[in-house]
Amino acid sequence: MLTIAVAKGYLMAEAMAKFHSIGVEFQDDLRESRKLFTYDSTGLIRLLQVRPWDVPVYVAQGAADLGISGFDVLEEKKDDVIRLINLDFGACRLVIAGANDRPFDSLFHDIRVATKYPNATEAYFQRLGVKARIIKLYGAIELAPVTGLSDVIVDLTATGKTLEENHLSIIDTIFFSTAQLITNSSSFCLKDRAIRNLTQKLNALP
Amino acid sequence: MKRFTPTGVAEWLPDEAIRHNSLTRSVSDSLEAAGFSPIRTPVIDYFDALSVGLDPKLVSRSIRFFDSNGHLMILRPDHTTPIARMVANRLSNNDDLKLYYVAPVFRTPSDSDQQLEVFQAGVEWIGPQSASSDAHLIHLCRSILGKLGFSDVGIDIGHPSFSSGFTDAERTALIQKDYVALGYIPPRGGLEIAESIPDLCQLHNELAHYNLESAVTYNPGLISEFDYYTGPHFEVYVPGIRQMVASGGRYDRLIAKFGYDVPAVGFAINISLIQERLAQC
Repeated sequence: MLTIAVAKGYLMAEAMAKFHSIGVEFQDDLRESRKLFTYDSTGLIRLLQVRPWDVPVYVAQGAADLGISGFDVLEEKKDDVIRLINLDFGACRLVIAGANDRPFDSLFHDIRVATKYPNATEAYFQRLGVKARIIKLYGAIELAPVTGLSDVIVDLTATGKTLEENHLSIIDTIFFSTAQLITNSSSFCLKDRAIRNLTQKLNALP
Repeated sequence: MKRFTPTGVAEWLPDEAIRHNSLTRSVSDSLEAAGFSPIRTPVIDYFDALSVGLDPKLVSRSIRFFDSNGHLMILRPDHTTPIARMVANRLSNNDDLKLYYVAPVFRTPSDSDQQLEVFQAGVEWIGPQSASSDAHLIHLCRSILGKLGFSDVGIDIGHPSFSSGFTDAERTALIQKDYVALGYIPPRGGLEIAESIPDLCQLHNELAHYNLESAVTYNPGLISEFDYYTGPHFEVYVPGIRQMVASGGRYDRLIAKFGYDVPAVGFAINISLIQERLAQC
């Protein structure tokens, strides 16, 4: 049996559509119930619905054989997982944004940066050669510059709409992200054939 | 004031200690029956006295501190390196040494591996440089796991030659297990994967003597935990245990770093993982 952990939210909807396209149908639609796991019609695949940040934890610790996680989460947490393939959905990018009138060259020494992505932010400012003071937040990052909590933010955006509505504009893009299929060394060694079969089918989709 | 031990160290009540002792006794008996002799290396060592042979990844995970004289000390992060030093210092008149140990190593725990004190049982076979000695150790490792009740094992075999043709970017992608960046998923399979590497063809023939040729897979994506492997190296996985239970391989240049140029091969079994699993059954 293969256990697959998928991030709750927008990745789950896309993942269900992909599974449907390769003929894998699950007994329950986890988006419409309080159930956190379900099986496919053959009983050979178990689907777990977990929080986006928890997907690589389930996979790294072997509680799931496979996972569908955003590149952004993998890059930020660096859990010990194998990245198998890119899945072409969940496209977004991690950007640094500030008040509308703030240009790129205003990223000054000791700048205060609010973010859910402290590691990616730290790495970005290291490359830039600017010392940043990072403030870790868990959501509604856009409020930080508006309220004076920080000078700029580093956050994920798909359409840029939330930034726009909060009078923020993009200063720079740190990386682009899509969903990726991940596994762990133990599952990949012991369930090589099943994992490769599923991966191949997902990869062959247009 | 904290009341409990740090995460990842072993504190056993009598029933757990009894289970541990009987587990390690069974492994020791098997290793002695195979002709290996016990040795011991110290838990605490001078960092300087080991660092020449220590893999950088092990150094970064090691636990180091200063003693009251200002010497940088290290808690033994693996067995192979201090054994290599001991052999170079004190056993260099011998060209066929079969040594084994059952003792813990100490590593900084991480989110995905919370063990700090890891009990290992392992062997180092110093002297012979042959595919038959490599195959013999893979067989020994598997038969010990079999005796402990793990008859269904996955053995993945890698070789440094697999990655010799890779660019730095490809090597980095392999080390990070990022097959998206690599551009493809490395194949895993039988001899057809390993045909271009003479070492592995010979190993394959030798494994046939133990009926192991179909129990192993060759994996070009297997970049070993440690840089010191110079020949075939392997990782072992078993159903029900989510981490690697054993690993080993050929390291022909490590002991030379301590002044005695002699080939060697070895493996270590993670006794802590096995003990935890057996307690659940």
